[in-house]
Amino acid sequence: MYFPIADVFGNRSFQKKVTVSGYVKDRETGEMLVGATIVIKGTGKGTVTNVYGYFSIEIEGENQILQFGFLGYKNLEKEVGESSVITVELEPITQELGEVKIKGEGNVHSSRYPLIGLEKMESSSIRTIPVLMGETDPMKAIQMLPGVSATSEGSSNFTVRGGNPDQNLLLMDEAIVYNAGHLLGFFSVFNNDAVKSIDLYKGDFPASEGGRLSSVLDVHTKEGNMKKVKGSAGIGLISSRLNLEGPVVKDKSSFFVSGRRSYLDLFLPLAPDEEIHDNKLYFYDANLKFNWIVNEKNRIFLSSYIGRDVFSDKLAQLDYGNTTFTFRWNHVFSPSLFANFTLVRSRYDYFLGTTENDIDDLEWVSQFNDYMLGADFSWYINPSQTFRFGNRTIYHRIDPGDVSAMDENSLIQSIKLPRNNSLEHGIYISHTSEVVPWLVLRLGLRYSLFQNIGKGKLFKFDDSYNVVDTIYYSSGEIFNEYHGLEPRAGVSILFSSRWSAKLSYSRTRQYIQLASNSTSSTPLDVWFPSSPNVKPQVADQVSLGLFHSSRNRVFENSVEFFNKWMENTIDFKDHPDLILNETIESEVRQGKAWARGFEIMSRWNTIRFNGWVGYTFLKSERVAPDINQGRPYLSHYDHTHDLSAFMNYRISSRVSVSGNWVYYTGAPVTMPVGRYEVSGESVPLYSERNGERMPDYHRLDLSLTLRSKKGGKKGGEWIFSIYNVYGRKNAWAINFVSDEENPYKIRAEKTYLFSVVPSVSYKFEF
Amino acid sequence: MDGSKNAYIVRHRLDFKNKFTDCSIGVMLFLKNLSFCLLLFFSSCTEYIDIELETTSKRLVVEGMVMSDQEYHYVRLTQSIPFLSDTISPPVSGATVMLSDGDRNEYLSESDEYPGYYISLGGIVGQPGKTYSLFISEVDINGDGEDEVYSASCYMPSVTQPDSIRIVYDDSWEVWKVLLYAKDNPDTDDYYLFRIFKNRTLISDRLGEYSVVSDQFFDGGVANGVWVQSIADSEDHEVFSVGDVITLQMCGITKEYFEFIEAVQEENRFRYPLFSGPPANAEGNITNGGLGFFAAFSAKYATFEFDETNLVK
Repeated sequence: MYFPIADVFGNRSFQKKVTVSGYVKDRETGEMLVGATIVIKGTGKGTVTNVYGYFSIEIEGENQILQFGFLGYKNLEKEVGESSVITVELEPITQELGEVKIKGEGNVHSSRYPLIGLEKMESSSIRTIPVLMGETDPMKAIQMLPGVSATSEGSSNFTVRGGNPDQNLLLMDEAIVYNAGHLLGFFSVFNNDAVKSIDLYKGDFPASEGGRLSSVLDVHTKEGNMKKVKGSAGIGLISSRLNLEGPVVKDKSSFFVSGRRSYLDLFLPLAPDEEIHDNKLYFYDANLKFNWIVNEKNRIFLSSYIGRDVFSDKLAQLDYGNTTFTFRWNHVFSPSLFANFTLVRSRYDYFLGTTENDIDDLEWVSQFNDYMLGADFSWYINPSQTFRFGNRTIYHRIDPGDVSAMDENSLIQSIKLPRNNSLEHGIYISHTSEVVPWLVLRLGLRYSLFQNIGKGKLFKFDDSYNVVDTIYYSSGEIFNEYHGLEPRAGVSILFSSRWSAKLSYSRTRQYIQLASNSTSSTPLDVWFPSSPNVKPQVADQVSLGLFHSSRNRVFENSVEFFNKWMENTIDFKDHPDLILNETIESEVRQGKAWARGFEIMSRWNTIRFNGWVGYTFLKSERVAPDINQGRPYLSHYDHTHDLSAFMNYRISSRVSVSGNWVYYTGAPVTMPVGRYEVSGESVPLYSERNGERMPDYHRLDLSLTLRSKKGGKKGGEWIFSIYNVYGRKNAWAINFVSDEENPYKIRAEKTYLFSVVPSVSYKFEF
Repeated sequence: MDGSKNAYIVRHRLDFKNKFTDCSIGVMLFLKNLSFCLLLFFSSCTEYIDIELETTSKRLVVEGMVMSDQEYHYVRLTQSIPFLSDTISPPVSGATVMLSDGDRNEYLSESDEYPGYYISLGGIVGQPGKTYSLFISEVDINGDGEDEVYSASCYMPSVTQPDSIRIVYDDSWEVWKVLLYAKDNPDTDDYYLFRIFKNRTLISDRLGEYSVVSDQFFDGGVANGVWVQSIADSEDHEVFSVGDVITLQMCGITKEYFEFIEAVQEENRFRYPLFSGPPANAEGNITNGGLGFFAAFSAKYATFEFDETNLVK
């Protein structure tokens, strides 16, 4: 390892300093490259581009050479003398065999970046993973990573390190997504065609983010081609998709539009049951984006997501969906001070109504509205030191439920659960410094403040959770506050260019949670915030990671240990009443939780082969009053062993095959230990919550990708895939039923959703 | 009318947790259809599997009722059995069972004909406003050679006389709906249990057929046609004929018994990860680890007679 002695004594400070800043882009599309590395040749010092593709680096001495690199792109060297603002365009390596070797040379710097528990995935690699019904889904791709798994078979919902699904912060272009499922959660709202990249933080959260205990899933959508108009379309079993992107003014502004709609409902008239022929059953969504480079110092992004699911039959209709709108303004105050200002509106709502054309027809509406204002600053002092600071303020406005008659003459009066208003603020500062070339330190501090504001209605409960008093607050009145510091710290040590270790600590606070005790959320679940009756959830996590890469960086291996302590975690009493319940807080039981374990990941990346094997060992426990008689019990998401393997093999430039295999220990469930009879009804008797386990889960999926002669960049692409190749009947639910011949005999019956599911999808560009 | 009805109907019709999981009733066609579409597509199937379950030690099960204006009450004692056992719950005989209304005590005697049933002989008449207690001794359920003692007590709430009921057929849900017209005290939290008699025979005799409603659905103390019970339509659509008399029994019950019935009903539904929370024990009111419930309740009645006009669907 190279130690520049001069640095240590600061001798070079006499030399001339220049600051080079600017953007790194894709040469063909003009899309910003996030996380591209910039290294001062010969020094090993460098920086990476931020989420907007911006970098700033201070250089000592004249005529230095900067090396720009990004995985999958050709490296580029540029000599710089004076302080300047530059735009660097990197050329993507076309995926032809025998061409340039794809190597992560650019990654020299990445092992030094002290974030552990961070996983990055690009839209293009997500596409190679075989999935259910061929419907590429970023949420299902991340379930393949260690520490992450699906909440139940086929679900796009995920759990991180045994935490609840509502402990994941889902961000789409900085807008929080509150219900990420389509079709009861089997598919996610993230359309992979519109996704550029996703970052999943499961250990060391960046100081800028907070509000959830388990993870932050940061999804960036595509900005649109700045050079030329392009389009693509895809057809699959579940949905078809259309994407269009291009410049409005070349190299100045661009748009991206992506839409998809499912067409399951088209097959309903073929169903044997005539009653369902007129049913509706579909979802659609659209991603819209516009970005405009005003000048060297200013850039504006507008992005929006609109999605909806619609189900109806002769009795009732249900529709629900998310709408988000994000406005972002990048401003470069000086080459070393970069700022981003964000304005977000995010909304989730559902409508449930009867369709009987009866005087008693009802409609039931629930809405969740979020307004967020944020500012983030990056101050690049020198290549060894960066400060980031900023703030976020979110206004949550929740209308949990409003049921009213559709007919004016109806005698039915409306019932309306009171609106709930709250504010969530966070300010943060973080500092990354290269203390010595082999030691990088990242210190962050976040301070969060939560306020319940009027107009509001607060219930006071006695020890048995009966309402003893009701207090009304007037509009704008702050009637409750919680606040606290959330320190984050990380240290990276480079033992050599191939070995490094990272240690991190983070504290997070969660002020809003989902009222659901099922293992997979339904569209009807509502979020509820902290209040005088519900304390904020707090988590402390320590992780230690060890990283190794082979000499040519074909293999990258890591092992990471984590230990997590959580307080005031949310659970619900036995048989809770969570729907349309004004006093839902009386159903909450807050307790403690722990999770510990380790994750092993081995990735390899050669011209023909790429893939990974991830293994997780996990123990996740909870305790809460009144639940399991106050004794600790396992989390439903405690999968002791969880193994995911993915492999992609390129047979030729036009043909590739992929496969993945998933295995995890069956989820803990509560099973009866006896039964008894009361008033003609057989009643099960349970001993311990989650004391037994479902059968172990495993599954193999395969896919074959065929590209047309023009290659991967242009033209068509067929993907044939088989989900659950060997037809493992994984139990989705276990129920107990009476034997038909002997009603006294009770038998266990499992329900499984999918046996072998073949699918085909086609995508082409134009 | 009031918000109560509509909340009740919403719950009755659209509550995912209650309805999706209760296919047998056939009143959740919407979700059934939805799930049918999905599951058809997903080719979901069921299959018997063999699993081994642990077995807890034997526990005493109590089923006891004290009803208003009644002189004769019964208590049934049985034992719990292993979950996958194909036997019926064995009765517990030879116990000493005492009933008390706070003023008077009466020992119940075991029926010769039905072992495990202990019957009162008229010493105590059910009266709303009193608290009834049950004491059980001289039983050894866990078989350790030492007798155990169990007890339970339950307050008997009062109930108002319902004004009337009406029975109408609901096409969509394919059930006969029993609609209640009644008043209750708006200042108290009241809980009701509804059972149906057809021509003086109890047709909702199993706990699964009980219907329980809290008076948060009688907003302002008035129930103006609240849907409180249902009678499933039969295959031949001829459940009733002219002259049939339907009697609704409206019982005032305690919150604890209300929650116990709801819990037992929930535990008997199918469970699917999408809609069901973790299963849990139905919490009874028997001390010393006993299971079941000793309930006291008051009852009032309203009747409805079918003629040619109201038989029309």
